[in-house]
Amino acid sequence: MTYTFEILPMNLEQAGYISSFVKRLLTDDNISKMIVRRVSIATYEAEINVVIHSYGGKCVIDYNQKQLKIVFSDTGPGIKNIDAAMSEGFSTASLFARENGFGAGMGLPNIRNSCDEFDIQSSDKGTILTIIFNL
Amino acid sequence: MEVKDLLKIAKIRCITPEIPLGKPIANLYASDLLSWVMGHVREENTVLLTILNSVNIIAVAVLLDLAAVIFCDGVEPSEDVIAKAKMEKIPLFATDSSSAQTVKVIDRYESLL
Repeated sequence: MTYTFEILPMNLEQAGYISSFVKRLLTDDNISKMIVRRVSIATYEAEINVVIHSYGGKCVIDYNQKQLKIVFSDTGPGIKNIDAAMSEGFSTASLFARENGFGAGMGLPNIRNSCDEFDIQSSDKGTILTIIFNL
Repeated sequence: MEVKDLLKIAKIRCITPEIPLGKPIANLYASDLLSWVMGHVREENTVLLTILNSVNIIAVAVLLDLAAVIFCDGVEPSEDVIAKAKMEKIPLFATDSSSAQTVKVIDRYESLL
Protein backbone atom coordinates (compact mmCIF):
# COMPACT_ATOMS: atom_id res chain seq x y z
CA MET A 1 0.00 0.00 0.00
CA THR A 2 1.11 3.56 -0.67
CA TYR A 3 0.02 6.60 1.32
CA THR A 4 0.86 10.21 0.51
CA PHE A 5 0.66 13.20 2.84
CA GLU A 6 1.26 16.89 2.31
CA ILE A 7 3.24 18.71 5.01
CA LEU A 8 2.68 22.42 5.54
CA PRO A 9 5.53 24.66 6.72
CA MET A 10 5.39 26.07 10.27
CA ASN A 11 2.20 24.17 11.04
CA LEU A 12 3.15 22.66 14.39
CA GLU A 13 -0.47 21.82 15.20
CA GLN A 14 -0.47 19.31 12.35
CA ALA A 15 2.92 17.83 13.19
CA GLY A 16 2.48 14.35 14.59
CA TYR A 17 -0.37 13.51 12.24
CA ILE A 18 1.69 11.29 9.92
CA SER A 19 3.57 9.56 12.73
CA SER A 20 0.30 8.88 14.56
CA PHE A 21 -1.15 7.46 11.33
CA VAL A 22 1.85 5.14 10.82
CA LYS A 23 1.78 4.08 14.45
CA ARG A 24 -1.89 3.10 14.17
CA LEU A 25 -1.28 1.33 10.86
CA LEU A 26 1.49 -0.85 12.29
CA THR A 27 -0.22 -1.42 15.64
CA ASP A 28 -3.37 -2.62 13.86
CA ASP A 29 -1.22 -5.10 11.94
CA ASN A 30 0.33 -6.43 15.17
CA ILE A 31 3.87 -5.28 14.32
CA SER A 32 6.11 -5.59 17.40
CA LYS A 33 6.04 -2.69 19.86
CA MET A 34 9.78 -2.21 19.53
CA ILE A 35 9.53 -1.61 15.80
CA VAL A 36 6.45 0.59 16.17
CA ARG A 37 8.37 2.71 18.64
CA ARG A 38 11.35 3.15 16.32
CA VAL A 39 9.10 4.02 13.40
CA SER A 40 7.15 6.52 15.54
CA ILE A 41 10.31 8.29 16.67
CA ALA A 42 11.85 8.52 13.19
CA THR A 43 8.64 9.58 11.48
CA TYR A 44 7.85 12.25 14.04
CA GLU A 45 11.33 13.75 13.87
CA ALA A 46 11.29 13.76 10.07
CA GLU A 47 7.83 15.32 10.02
CA ILE A 48 8.98 18.03 12.42
CA ASN A 49 12.07 18.73 10.32
CA VAL A 50 9.93 19.45 7.25
CA VAL A 51 7.55 21.61 9.31
CA ILE A 52 10.18 23.76 11.04
CA HIS A 53 12.94 23.95 8.41
CA SER A 54 11.43 23.73 4.91
CA TYR A 55 8.99 25.66 2.75
CA GLY A 56 6.70 22.63 2.72
CA GLY A 57 6.87 19.11 1.41
CA LYS A 58 5.36 15.69 1.24
CA CYS A 59 5.66 12.26 2.72
CA VAL A 60 5.19 9.02 0.77
CA ILE A 61 4.82 5.78 2.68
CA ASP A 62 5.29 2.41 0.97
CA TYR A 63 4.19 -0.41 3.19
CA ASN A 64 4.23 -4.15 2.62
CA GLN A 65 4.62 -7.20 4.82
CA LYS A 66 8.40 -7.14 4.72
CA GLN A 67 9.29 -3.48 4.65
CA LEU A 68 8.19 0.03 5.47
CA LYS A 69 9.77 2.72 3.32
CA ILE A 70 9.09 6.39 4.05
CA VAL A 71 10.31 9.23 1.87
CA PHE A 72 10.13 12.84 3.05
CA SER A 73 10.81 15.40 0.33
CA ASP A 74 10.63 19.16 0.71
CA THR A 75 11.41 22.38 -1.10
CA GLY A 76 14.32 24.51 0.17
CA PRO A 77 16.35 25.85 1.81
CA GLY A 78 18.16 22.50 2.19
CA ILE A 79 20.80 21.46 4.68
CA LYS A 80 24.08 23.30 4.17
CA ASN A 81 26.26 20.88 6.10
CA ILE A 82 24.79 17.39 6.41
CA ASP A 83 27.70 16.05 8.48
CA ALA A 84 27.15 18.77 11.08
CA ALA A 85 23.39 18.21 11.02
CA MET A 86 23.95 14.51 11.68
CA SER A 87 25.94 15.19 14.85
CA GLU A 88 24.07 15.26 18.15
CA GLY A 89 23.47 18.73 19.54
CA PHE A 90 23.92 20.65 16.26
CA SER A 91 20.87 22.74 15.41
CA THR A 92 19.87 25.57 13.10
CA ALA A 93 16.32 25.68 14.48
CA SER A 94 14.62 29.10 14.60
CA LEU A 95 13.50 30.83 17.78
CA PHE A 96 9.93 29.84 16.86
CA ALA A 97 10.94 26.16 16.75
CA ARG A 98 12.94 26.41 19.96
CA GLU A 99 10.09 28.05 21.83
CA ASN A 100 8.01 25.01 20.92
CA GLY A 101 10.49 22.56 22.36
CA PHE A 102 12.46 21.74 19.21
CA GLY A 103 16.06 22.52 18.33
CA ALA A 104 17.81 20.04 20.61
CA GLY A 105 19.91 18.98 17.64
CA MET A 106 18.73 15.39 18.05
CA GLY A 107 16.33 15.11 15.11
CA LEU A 108 18.51 13.53 12.42
CA PRO A 109 20.57 11.47 14.93
CA ASN A 110 17.33 10.10 16.39
CA ILE A 111 16.10 9.21 12.89
CA ARG A 112 19.35 7.49 11.89
CA ASN A 113 19.43 5.53 15.16
CA SER A 114 15.84 4.37 14.75
CA CYS A 115 15.74 3.05 11.17
CA ASP A 116 17.40 0.16 9.34
CA GLU A 117 18.38 2.13 6.23
CA PHE A 118 18.93 5.87 6.03
CA ASP A 119 19.66 8.18 3.11
CA ILE A 120 19.60 11.94 2.92
CA GLN A 121 20.18 14.14 -0.13
CA SER A 122 20.08 17.91 0.10
CA SER A 123 20.68 20.99 -2.03
CA ASP A 124 19.44 24.56 -1.88
CA LYS A 125 16.37 23.34 -3.79
CA GLY A 126 15.31 21.00 -1.01
CA THR A 127 15.93 17.80 0.91
CA ILE A 128 14.97 14.17 0.32
CA LEU A 129 15.13 11.83 3.29
CA THR A 130 14.56 8.11 2.79
CA ILE A 131 14.16 5.78 5.75
CA ILE A 132 13.50 2.05 5.61
CA PHE A 133 12.41 -0.35 8.33
CA ASN A 134 12.55 -4.13 8.03
CA LEU A 135 9.38 -5.61 9.46
CA MET B 1 2.86 2.89 41.52
CA GLU B 2 0.02 3.91 39.22
CA VAL B 3 -0.88 7.25 37.67
CA LYS B 4 -3.86 7.56 40.03
CA ASP B 5 -1.45 7.53 43.00
CA LEU B 6 -0.26 10.96 41.86
CA LEU B 7 -3.61 12.27 43.13
CA LYS B 8 -2.51 11.46 46.67
CA ILE B 9 0.49 13.78 46.45
CA ALA B 10 -0.64 17.15 47.79
CA LYS B 11 1.58 19.30 45.61
CA ILE B 12 0.41 17.71 42.34
CA ARG B 13 -3.06 18.44 40.96
CA CYS B 14 -4.87 16.68 38.15
CA ILE B 15 -6.00 18.86 35.24
CA THR B 16 -7.91 16.18 33.33
CA PRO B 17 -9.94 14.26 35.93
CA GLU B 18 -12.14 12.75 33.20
CA ILE B 19 -9.25 10.74 31.74
CA PRO B 20 -8.70 7.24 33.23
CA LEU B 21 -5.67 7.05 35.54
CA GLY B 22 -5.19 3.28 35.69
CA LYS B 23 -1.83 2.99 33.92
CA PRO B 24 1.21 1.87 35.90
CA ILE B 25 4.16 4.25 36.14
CA ALA B 26 7.25 2.54 34.73
CA ASN B 27 9.62 5.48 35.02
CA LEU B 28 9.95 9.27 35.30
CA TYR B 29 11.68 11.55 32.79
CA ALA B 30 12.21 15.31 32.99
CA SER B 31 13.03 17.38 29.91
CA ASP B 32 11.85 20.39 27.92
CA LEU B 33 13.39 19.40 24.59
CA LEU B 34 11.11 17.15 22.55
CA SER B 35 13.77 15.43 20.46
CA TRP B 36 15.65 14.69 23.63
CA VAL B 37 12.52 13.08 25.03
CA MET B 38 12.02 11.13 21.78
CA GLY B 39 15.59 9.86 21.83
CA HIS B 40 15.90 9.04 25.51
CA VAL B 41 12.60 7.74 26.88
CA ARG B 42 13.02 3.98 26.60
CA GLU B 43 10.00 2.58 28.42
CA GLU B 44 6.32 2.92 27.73
CA ASN B 45 4.25 4.23 30.66
CA THR B 46 6.94 6.76 31.54
CA VAL B 47 5.69 9.98 33.20
CA LEU B 48 7.13 13.13 31.62
CA LEU B 49 7.87 16.22 33.74
CA THR B 50 8.21 19.40 31.72
CA ILE B 51 7.62 23.14 31.52
CA LEU B 52 6.95 22.97 27.79
CA ASN B 53 3.39 24.15 27.18
CA SER B 54 2.91 22.98 23.59
CA VAL B 55 0.49 20.66 21.79
CA ASN B 56 3.55 18.81 20.51
CA ILE B 57 4.04 17.45 24.02
CA ILE B 58 0.82 15.49 23.55
CA ALA B 59 1.93 14.17 20.14
CA VAL B 60 5.15 12.92 21.73
CA ALA B 61 3.18 11.44 24.65
CA VAL B 62 1.03 9.46 22.22
CA LEU B 63 3.95 8.22 20.13
CA LEU B 64 5.95 7.09 23.17
CA ASP B 65 2.92 5.70 25.07
CA LEU B 66 3.64 7.96 28.04
CA ALA B 67 1.53 7.32 31.15
CA ALA B 68 1.01 11.03 31.99
CA VAL B 69 2.52 14.51 31.70
CA ILE B 70 3.20 16.74 34.72
CA PHE B 71 3.65 20.48 34.05
CA CYS B 72 6.09 21.87 36.60
CA ASP B 73 7.11 25.27 38.00
CA GLY B 74 3.56 26.63 37.89
CA VAL B 75 3.13 26.20 34.12
CA GLU B 76 -0.55 25.83 33.23
CA PRO B 77 -1.19 23.96 29.99
CA SER B 78 -3.13 25.94 27.40
CA GLU B 79 -6.68 25.12 26.28
CA ASP B 80 -5.25 23.62 23.06
CA VAL B 81 -2.98 21.30 25.01
CA ILE B 82 -5.79 20.21 27.35
CA ALA B 83 -8.18 19.62 24.43
CA LYS B 84 -5.64 17.46 22.59
CA ALA B 85 -4.80 15.55 25.79
CA LYS B 86 -8.50 14.77 26.30
CA MET B 87 -8.80 13.61 22.70
CA GLU B 88 -5.76 11.34 23.03
CA LYS B 89 -6.55 10.30 26.64
CA ILE B 90 -3.20 11.47 28.05
CA PRO B 91 -3.67 12.46 31.74
CA LEU B 92 -2.27 15.90 32.61
CA PHE B 93 -1.11 17.11 36.00
CA ALA B 94 0.39 20.38 37.23
CA THR B 95 2.49 21.50 40.16
CA ASP B 96 4.12 24.69 41.38
CA SER B 97 7.27 22.74 42.26
CA SER B 98 10.25 22.29 39.95
CA SER B 99 10.70 19.06 38.01
CA ALA B 100 13.60 18.06 40.28
CA GLN B 101 11.54 18.67 43.43
CA THR B 102 8.60 16.80 41.93
CA VAL B 103 10.72 13.75 41.12
CA LYS B 104 11.91 13.74 44.75
CA VAL B 105 8.35 13.95 46.08
CA ILE B 106 7.12 11.13 43.83
CA ASP B 107 10.12 9.00 44.72
CA ARG B 108 9.52 9.57 48.44
CA TYR B 109 5.83 8.67 48.04
CA GLU B 110 6.66 5.51 46.07
CA SER B 111 9.06 4.35 48.80
CA LEU B 112 6.13 4.44 51.25
CA LEU B 113 3.94 2.19 49.10
